[in-house]
Amino acid sequence: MAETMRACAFLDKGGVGKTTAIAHLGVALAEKGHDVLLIDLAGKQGDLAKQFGLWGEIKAEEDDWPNISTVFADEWELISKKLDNAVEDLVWETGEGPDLIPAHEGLDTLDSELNNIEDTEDRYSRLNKFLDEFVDDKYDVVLIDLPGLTNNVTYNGIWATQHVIAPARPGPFESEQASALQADLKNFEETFDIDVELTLVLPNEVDTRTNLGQKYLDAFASEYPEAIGEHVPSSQDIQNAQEDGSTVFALEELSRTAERARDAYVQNAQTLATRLNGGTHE
Amino acid sequence: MEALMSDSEPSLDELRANTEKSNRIETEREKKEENTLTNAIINSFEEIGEGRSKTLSLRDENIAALVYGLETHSDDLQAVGKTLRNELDRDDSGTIDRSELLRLAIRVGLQQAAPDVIEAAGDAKAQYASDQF
Repeated sequence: MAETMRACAFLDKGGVGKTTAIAHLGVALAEKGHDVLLIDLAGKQGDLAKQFGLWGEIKAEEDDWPNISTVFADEWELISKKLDNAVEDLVWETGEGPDLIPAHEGLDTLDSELNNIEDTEDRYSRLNKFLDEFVDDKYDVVLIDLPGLTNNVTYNGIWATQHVIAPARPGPFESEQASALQADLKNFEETFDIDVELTLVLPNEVDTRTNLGQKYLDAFASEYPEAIGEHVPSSQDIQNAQEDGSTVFALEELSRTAERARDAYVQNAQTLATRLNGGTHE
Repeated sequence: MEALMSDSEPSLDELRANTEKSNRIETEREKKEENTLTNAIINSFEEIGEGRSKTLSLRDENIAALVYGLETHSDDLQAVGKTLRNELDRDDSGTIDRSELLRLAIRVGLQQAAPDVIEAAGDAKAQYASDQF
């Protein structure tokens, strides 16, 4: 039974803001006093580490083992016993509150390696096992950034968290993707007999000044009344902060839209914590 | 993703070697490098099939004297041959001559000193046989 609050950011489409959402929700929760761990499974490019300006330092490290792909290996239990601080070896401090287990190029081949595991429950529950045995006692929130496509790594993230955050930009494709996601999660539930919830639909980069922006916002609210979160307005400051290696929370002077974006993330983090709090899964 | 097959617990270095991963392109490159010996052996099978000699010779005074001596003591030659066959889990039937003695000895030596090379040769033979179809 999980002791940490866990959620993953997933939508079967790239570029919708999963990394931005995970980073900002994580910082917002850390500012509220939670011990937060972020995990980047979204690909070897290390976007979550880049969000916090860490990727250069991480890549410069000569010794990159163990790393996030190692925890999926059969040998992880043995490895963890032989290292003094196996989990600490994986973790980096973001400087904004949460800790981070960054991506690694080993993620490039992880999906095909997981395919070699015949037993599907074993194949999809490796991350869950890692979190149960090695992370639960250290953090009370775990947020996972998943790839923008459905594969074995994604299923590990969904299995381990059972709560999905779906960032969605206003647009017809994203709207259809969110519907497809609901269908995928239902299928996953039925196949593996575990509960999975679309916990937060997070409309982001929304320009409510336009009719189209408002229209999509209304459509999302109507489609997902229980999961809808506070929309995050489009803000150049968020992108500027990303390029400087920080979230909007680290900015000293914020524009009005940046303030509204920050406040939206704070509200969404509170909503997420409320929905996750006390949630259990097997 | 296979766990190490070892009677004793693997060392941290062994665990690291087994789990250290690079990106997809480097993994493909490593796979290609591992296959180089196998490919070379397949090429050799093809050349032998096209007429390259399958007879090897060696020049060594000590081994020559040993083998000549065994040939004059048939019981000893058969006993050595039987031991070599047992090492390779081979069927122990039929008289062993000089040629088979040397074949068995080389195989046992390679099996003990370089089992991965024997494995590559096995893979190559299988691939070559398959290619004939």
